[in-house]
Amino acid sequence: MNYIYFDNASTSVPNDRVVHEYNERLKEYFNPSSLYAPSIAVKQNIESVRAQFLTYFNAPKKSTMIFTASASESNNTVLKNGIRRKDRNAVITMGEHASVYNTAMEYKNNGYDIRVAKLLPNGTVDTEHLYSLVDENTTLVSVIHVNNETGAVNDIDSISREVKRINPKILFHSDGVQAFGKVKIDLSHSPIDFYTISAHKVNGLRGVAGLYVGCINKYIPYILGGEQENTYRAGTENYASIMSFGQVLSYIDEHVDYQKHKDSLLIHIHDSDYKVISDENCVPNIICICFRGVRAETLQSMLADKGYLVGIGSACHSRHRDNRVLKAMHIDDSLIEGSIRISFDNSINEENIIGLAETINSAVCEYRTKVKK
Amino acid sequence: MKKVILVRFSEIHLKGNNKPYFIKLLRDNIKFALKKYGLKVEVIQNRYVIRDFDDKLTQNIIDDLSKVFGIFSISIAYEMDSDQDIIIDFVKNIKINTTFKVDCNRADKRFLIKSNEFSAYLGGVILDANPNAKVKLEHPEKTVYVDIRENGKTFVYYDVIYLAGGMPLCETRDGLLLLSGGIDSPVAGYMMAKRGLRQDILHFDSYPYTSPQAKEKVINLAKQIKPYIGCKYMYVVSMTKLQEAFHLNCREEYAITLLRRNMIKVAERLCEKYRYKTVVTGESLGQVASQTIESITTTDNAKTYVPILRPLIAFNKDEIIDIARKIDTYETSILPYEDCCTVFLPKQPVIKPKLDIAEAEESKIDLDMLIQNAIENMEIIQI
Repeated sequence: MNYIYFDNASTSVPNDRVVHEYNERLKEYFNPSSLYAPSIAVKQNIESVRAQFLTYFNAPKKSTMIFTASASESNNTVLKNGIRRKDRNAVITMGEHASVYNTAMEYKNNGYDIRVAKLLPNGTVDTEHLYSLVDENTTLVSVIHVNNETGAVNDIDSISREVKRINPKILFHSDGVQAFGKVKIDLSHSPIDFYTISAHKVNGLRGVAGLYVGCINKYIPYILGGEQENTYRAGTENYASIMSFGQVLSYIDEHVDYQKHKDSLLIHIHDSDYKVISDENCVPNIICICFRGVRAETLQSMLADKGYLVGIGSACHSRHRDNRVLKAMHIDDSLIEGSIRISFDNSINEENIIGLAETINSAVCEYRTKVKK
Repeated sequence: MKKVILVRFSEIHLKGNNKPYFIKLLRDNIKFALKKYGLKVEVIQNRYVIRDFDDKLTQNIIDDLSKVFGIFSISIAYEMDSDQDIIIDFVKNIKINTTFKVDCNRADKRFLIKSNEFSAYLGGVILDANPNAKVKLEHPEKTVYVDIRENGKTFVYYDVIYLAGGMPLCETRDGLLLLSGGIDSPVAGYMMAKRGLRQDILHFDSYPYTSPQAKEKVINLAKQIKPYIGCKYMYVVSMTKLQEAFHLNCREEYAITLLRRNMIKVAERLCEKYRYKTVVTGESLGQVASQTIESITTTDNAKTYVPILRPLIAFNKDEIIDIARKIDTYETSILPYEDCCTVFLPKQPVIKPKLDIAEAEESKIDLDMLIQNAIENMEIIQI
């Protein structure tokens, strides 16, 4: 069956340029750490991709981009850097991705003071609550830039400034995986210390991600061993993937009008009892919709049978039916159970959107006829 | 001198004229379980001997043998000719620093020294060679078994490892196991296999009300119990249309009663079609509303002739869980995917259903057609 893919927030279709670059670079198999000429060339290529990323973010001097194997690794690295003493504390939000939230909870179970800021009903962090948790003993604050389930955008620039005003020693991290390429960010005068990005959410490949580090002097590596990545991350460089990640920058800012797609989708969806969670402050390429009383898994299967692939909750933990983020937004359980996530990339057109909306309408209608409340 | 695995059977010695049949059956089952090692299984008097195996794979072989029903126990033994001097030479080299005894068994009466005398003599040999060893006839820390068989061979071993016991699995697949994805049904299949019943699997799903992962989970469970129950096929029948029909037309509290009755009807039709002789379920009396004696009776009445075996009927949940852990299905069973029964779950299912009401509710629907369609569209998966 030919599927039309609406689950780009979980992973996306690799771009042709990325795949081509990857295949070509596989031929340059040299270990960047070796000292012969081809290795030095390979090493220089990695450095030039690193420089492209730093330019893209307008990053200041002394900062760097470390290439990792996944955004989860990047986020774990940040937590290791920021949570080091049990008599200090770290502040995260209820809207964090599992790779921050669950990792932080693991620290908490081990006796560290982890504080979790609430969310507002629109899915952004309750900044008043966040600031009230921050004090002179806070060492790390982590606020997701764009939430992966709702698309809610946190104003990390002003949040990071306010946090640093309360305590300038704090390390400020933002998980920018869903924001990368969707919300422009300029790090030139930003107080942000760490910023996580990933390739496979933006039509790149899996197995390569990045961690922007604002002040490299204070950084401690997460993976220890050899002196790869300028001693910041051990493990032989994933050269071809890193080079293909560089290609992402060549198209990441060209997109179709997602807002138009979102409006069009929402106009065409009709149901007796549903709620659109992603409001106008969210990135327009992620839309979370809840159909009250409908089981999302069933709806997902019904749509898949008709050729439309959508997400439910967050694909990374779709085995669990309760949804931490939506719960923190005080959404009813009966709505959470029926929450689906539709996320676009550039390949989607108006016809696909209308097709999806009509298929959702008929599937939900069929469900409601067959399953009495 | 060769290292061998000595395999003893259980219950087969109780058989009369059928004994040779069962001995051959168990040998074939052992050979099948050890197929990947390419080993020969020799039958000697009341024992099987497995020779020429790779020492490093001993534990893997034991693990595979532990899944073969009909094996009472095994020992890793040293095989030698039944020659007094050879045996004494071997025993001399045994290292023992604890209390011990020697236990001779002389099945070969051509061997002239009596068991007791030979045990005592060998004990002396060990004492001479190991100054720290001490004889203790009751509860010694180590026992040296010397098994002098009729075929002129002697086996010396120290440990007896007890395995599953039971009866060897028959060649024909006679049973149809209803496998839900929960904890109980794989255990039920295991229990019946222990009595020699080879089974295939019937699974009911309710796609799209259950996820594709739920079916994957059941396929994984089927693969896990395959070494025990000898299954080859899993039939997957969709109950979706029936459940939708019950949900819209019948009394809500009877939803599960009706579903279970019709699962049995489907199972009986498959028994007819593929010549299975019995249906196996994981029901345990009183465990849930659908397993009260009234519910079981109402379900049982849905079939006309095929016997339903419920090996777990008198088991406590913790006893079932213990077995599930032992056969490694527990961790898969508790994965949180909805199985067939929980989708259209009534708020208050009937605890004491009545047969006449169940039948009256069923008469509201063209069940025959729905069952027919469900079977026609069934998926057959090779396990």
